[in-house]
Amino acid sequence: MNGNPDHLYYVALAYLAATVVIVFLVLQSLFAAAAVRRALEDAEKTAENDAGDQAS
Amino acid sequence: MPDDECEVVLIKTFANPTRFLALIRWVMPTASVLAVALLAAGLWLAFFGSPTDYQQGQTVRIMYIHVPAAWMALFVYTSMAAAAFVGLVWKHVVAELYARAAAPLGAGFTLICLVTGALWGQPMWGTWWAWDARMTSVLVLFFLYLGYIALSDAFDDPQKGINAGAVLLIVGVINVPIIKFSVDWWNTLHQPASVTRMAMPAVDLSMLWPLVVMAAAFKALFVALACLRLRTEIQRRRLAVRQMQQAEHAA
Repeated sequence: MNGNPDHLYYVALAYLAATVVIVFLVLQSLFAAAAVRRALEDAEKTAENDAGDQAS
Repeated sequence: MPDDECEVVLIKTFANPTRFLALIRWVMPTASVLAVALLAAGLWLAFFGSPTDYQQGQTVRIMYIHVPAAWMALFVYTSMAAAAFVGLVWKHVVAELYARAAAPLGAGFTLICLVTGALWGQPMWGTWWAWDARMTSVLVLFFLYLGYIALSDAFDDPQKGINAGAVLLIVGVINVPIIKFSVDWWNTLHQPASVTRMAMPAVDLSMLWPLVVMAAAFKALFVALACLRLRTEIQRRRLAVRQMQQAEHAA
């Protein structure tokens, strides 16, 4: 690799910044998906229990 | 079948969230695998496959994330505005939810574009930022994304938020051609297009390849994350309906 070695700091910082943003987006999407799926499962379980109580 | 009828049938086919979820089930893993593979190949090409530029030196490597991020920022906003239009006109549930799902991703790509642009500008131009037409219009795009996210969440009734956000998206689409042609219309510090232009790209093949592979990687990453977030939005809507039914039942 040739060129001004000082410029490698800017390159490293740019890739680090992009990595931080992408990792944040991936983690936020995964956690949000897990939270909503869990809440939906709980709600469906509650609905099933309510239906069972009503039937009995 | 005429073309316009065919389009309406296609739009209606995916208006059914269950049918759309079935499509997501295979698109999401395929796009995820593609994104990882292309990112790995793109990074290898960016660091080891690309020579240093005779003027930019090492900083040319910043271009391999800055330019694809800029393309994605424009693409995501345009797709959101198109989806908002379809949602408003045809009351297409999936299109309405798509804009909500894609907005944080678009904002993320725009942020990457702005930050990496500043990190390239400092060693090359001697300044982190200039209020020229290209940079300012991209900053406006970032604020449009943030404004949409805030506006679509600002109402107790989610549908009102979606409709208000859709209007903002459609009005804000005027900014897209301004960004694209700002470097031609005004005298800007930012250089004009060197890849997406009518003539042959002004970039050497050794530098065009990493750029194209990274652009494909960003696109695949967006598809994978948009599918995941869209599925979450559909499930969130189902959850809201379920909770409303339970509240009615309890009353």
